[in-house]
Amino acid sequence: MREKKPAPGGAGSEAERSEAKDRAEVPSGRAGRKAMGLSSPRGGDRLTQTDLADANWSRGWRHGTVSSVRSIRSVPSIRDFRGIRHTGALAPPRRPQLSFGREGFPQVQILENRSASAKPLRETPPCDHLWPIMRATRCNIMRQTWPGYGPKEQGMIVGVLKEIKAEENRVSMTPAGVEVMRRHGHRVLVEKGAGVGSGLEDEAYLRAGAEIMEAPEQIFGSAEMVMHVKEPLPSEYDLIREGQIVFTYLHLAAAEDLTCSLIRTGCVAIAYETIRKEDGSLPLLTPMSEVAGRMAIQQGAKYLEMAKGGHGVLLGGVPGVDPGTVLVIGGGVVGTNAAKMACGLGAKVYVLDTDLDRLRYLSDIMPKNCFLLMSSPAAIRELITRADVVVGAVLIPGARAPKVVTRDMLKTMKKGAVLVDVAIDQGGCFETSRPTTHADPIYSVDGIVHYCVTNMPGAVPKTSTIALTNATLPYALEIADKGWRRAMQENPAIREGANIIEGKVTHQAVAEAFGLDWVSVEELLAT
Amino acid sequence: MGFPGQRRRSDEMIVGILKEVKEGEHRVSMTPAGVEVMRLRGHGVLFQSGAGEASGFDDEIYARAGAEVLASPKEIFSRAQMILRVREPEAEEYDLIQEDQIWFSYLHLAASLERTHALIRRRSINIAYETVQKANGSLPLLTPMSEVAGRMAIQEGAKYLEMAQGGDGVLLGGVPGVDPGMVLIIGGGVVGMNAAKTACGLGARVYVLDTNLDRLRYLSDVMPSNCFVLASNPMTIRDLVTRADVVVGAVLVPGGRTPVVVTHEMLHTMKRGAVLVDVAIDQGGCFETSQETTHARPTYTVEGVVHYAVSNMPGALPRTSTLALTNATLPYALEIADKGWGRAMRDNPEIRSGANVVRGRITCMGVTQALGLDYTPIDELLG
Repeated sequence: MREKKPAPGGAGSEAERSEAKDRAEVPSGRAGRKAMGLSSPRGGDRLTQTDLADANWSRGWRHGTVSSVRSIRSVPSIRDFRGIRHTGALAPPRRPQLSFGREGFPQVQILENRSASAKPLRETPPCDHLWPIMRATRCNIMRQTWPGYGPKEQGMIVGVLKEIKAEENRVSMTPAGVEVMRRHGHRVLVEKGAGVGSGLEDEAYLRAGAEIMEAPEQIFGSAEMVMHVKEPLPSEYDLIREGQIVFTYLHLAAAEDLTCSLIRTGCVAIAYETIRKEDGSLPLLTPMSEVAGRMAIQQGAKYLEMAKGGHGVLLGGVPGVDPGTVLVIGGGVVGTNAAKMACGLGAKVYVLDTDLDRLRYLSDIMPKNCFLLMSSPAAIRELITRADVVVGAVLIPGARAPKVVTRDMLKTMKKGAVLVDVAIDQGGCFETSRPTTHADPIYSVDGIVHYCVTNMPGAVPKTSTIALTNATLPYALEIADKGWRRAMQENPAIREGANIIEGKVTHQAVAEAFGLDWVSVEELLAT
Repeated sequence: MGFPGQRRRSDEMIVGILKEVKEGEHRVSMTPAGVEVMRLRGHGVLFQSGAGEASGFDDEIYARAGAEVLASPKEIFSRAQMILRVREPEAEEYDLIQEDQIWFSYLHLAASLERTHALIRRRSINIAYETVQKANGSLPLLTPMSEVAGRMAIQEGAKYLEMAQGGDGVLLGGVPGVDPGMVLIIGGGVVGMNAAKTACGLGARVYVLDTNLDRLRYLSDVMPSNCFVLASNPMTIRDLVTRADVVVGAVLVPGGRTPVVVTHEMLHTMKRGAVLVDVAIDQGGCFETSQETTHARPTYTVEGVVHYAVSNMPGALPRTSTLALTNATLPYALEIADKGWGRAMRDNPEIRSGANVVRGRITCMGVTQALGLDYTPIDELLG
């Protein structure tokens, strides 16, 4: 169609002819439009596609015909236009809609019903002299007139990869997320079977508008941003392309090989775990901490059973029998969620924390069977002798967890008590902790059952996937909408997430861990 | 030792506490606290060494409470007038039981003709925990175990929902922003109510079904707001199982086989990886596909649905179960010891209803019906 455009400003008769020609060439019906790579968002047959880049634009406007605007790359700001808009000389077209063309680039269509009741908006074209600028800025205007109107200039191709790490059943985007991505004008490529572990079939992704890809190579080959849950594995290192955004959990400070590979590929690696809000919270770790905290109690309850090595206490007790005692060390997200569940079961729950304000807050919100104490080695030594379940929920961001329960203390504990170490991913907060898996989750030391499964939320992927993607989607969307550069400029949380940009390490802890040069993101963005 | 209920020495009874012989049974029939009360009433207590270990009570504590710790069960059989146990006597013990010796434990005679004949032959006094019944119809020595089993059912469901355990990977409580799991509890009795309480505490969406409308009204009054109580019928069950992550079968028809409330066909409509917990398995199970399992191998899968059907669930938590059970049994044991079985049965209809086989006669209607044997009313023997 673009090739057939008449020269702008052509004679009226010529323009008329061309309009007629254009209309004639758009086959009616869905199949016809589809064949042309156009899809109608509203599905009405009355739509006619006309390219606004030609002189017919004004007529289309005047008569309320259907028009379309193709997006353009460089656009002046709305500021150039502000005066005009304010005078009302330029009435914004009504009902903007979005559709996707053949190349996956968004097109903007201004739709006006040509029904009898529809009044022509304007008899004469407004401000003739402004057309050239208007043409250049129409997309921008509309986006700013209707917030959430659509993508910037073009959509991004986002790839959702299947997890290949063992015991990892989560997926980095749900069909609900795909739908939102599509609405923002992005293309989403999903690897075949990526959501199966979380109960999300390929069919659901297709319906949401994703394209299913057979092989990860295809996704790495065409996506501008790839999303994972776990870090890329060696088989994927060579597939990552220069300039590609890799958005996932990375834990680079513990993985030298991965760090080097990401530097070599020249990609933009943004890590879930280092995205940090201004209040210091880690929004993409929080949902997993919630899951792990809530799971910790059901593990404790289960492994207290005698057949599992525990000493046979029901955490909630029954009327007439003392309930179990749960000691939660650390009152952060994990600790709070663990305490909530334990309270719900009816156990006696002690939560220890060193932050008095946090203790005050917890004391306000927790049920009456939750007791809040200031954490100290003495308090731990004393309570641990009475505890049936001890949950280690101590986290010092970016550092190894401190050892709050020593081996000596185990001897003073009840035989068959259960230790659940939720901090095991950060090295564990019990001296006797060593990582275990869901297949073989427990071991005993001095008669005390240890549950130290790394990646606890992996066992409940349906819940974890939704919890995680609820949190990641807004960031992924922002990066896709704005591109990584502008997203980092405008959102400090995403800036914090940048670990490696085009071969340069931008996260201080990673640089320190391997003795590499550190470049601040701000510096990179400035160049 | 001045205690109001103390008896004269001539009235004292010697009570024997035997170690359990059944595999996987870790409970004990009397705690040291119970021994102390028995001693205060002037009774002698013989205790088999090691019986309380799994429940967290070693021999020394029993000795301190006043029990005589004996290594051999034979000596206890020969000296004790009343024997307390959790589980029924096993074949090798039949010949040790003496005439007129009182045996007070779970018996489940309706399920075993051989055991019934053995007890008839021994002419002992057998009082079964499970048939002790209050005037209002409740079963006070089953209630505590039902409470434990009901509360356990949810933690089993939560655990086996994990993907590594075969479940579909849902966290029952959900997290903020994620839908919590759905728990369907069929039967609103003691088991169902305790299961519902625990599930509500975890934050799940809980449906409790019962056929008794008054019970539903009561539950609706006492349960938290994430518990929904519905009248039970096949259609409601068919509808709700399709959405459930955990289904707890808590249906009990006293003395009879439990009805099948979830059929094999319904499994096809359920979510893959949902978990069925059959608490009624000891009475035959209330799911068509239930088969008894053990704590060592607790689950199996049918049509992608995980089945947990461990018989004797409370056995896994002996510390809690022992206390819960002995809290309930001790008053009866005391009364029998204080008064002797004859007067205890005459005075207390609850103990009378517990009598199963007395001096060679079957005095429990349910047992005679199940086994086709002659029934002798207990009043005849007492009168």
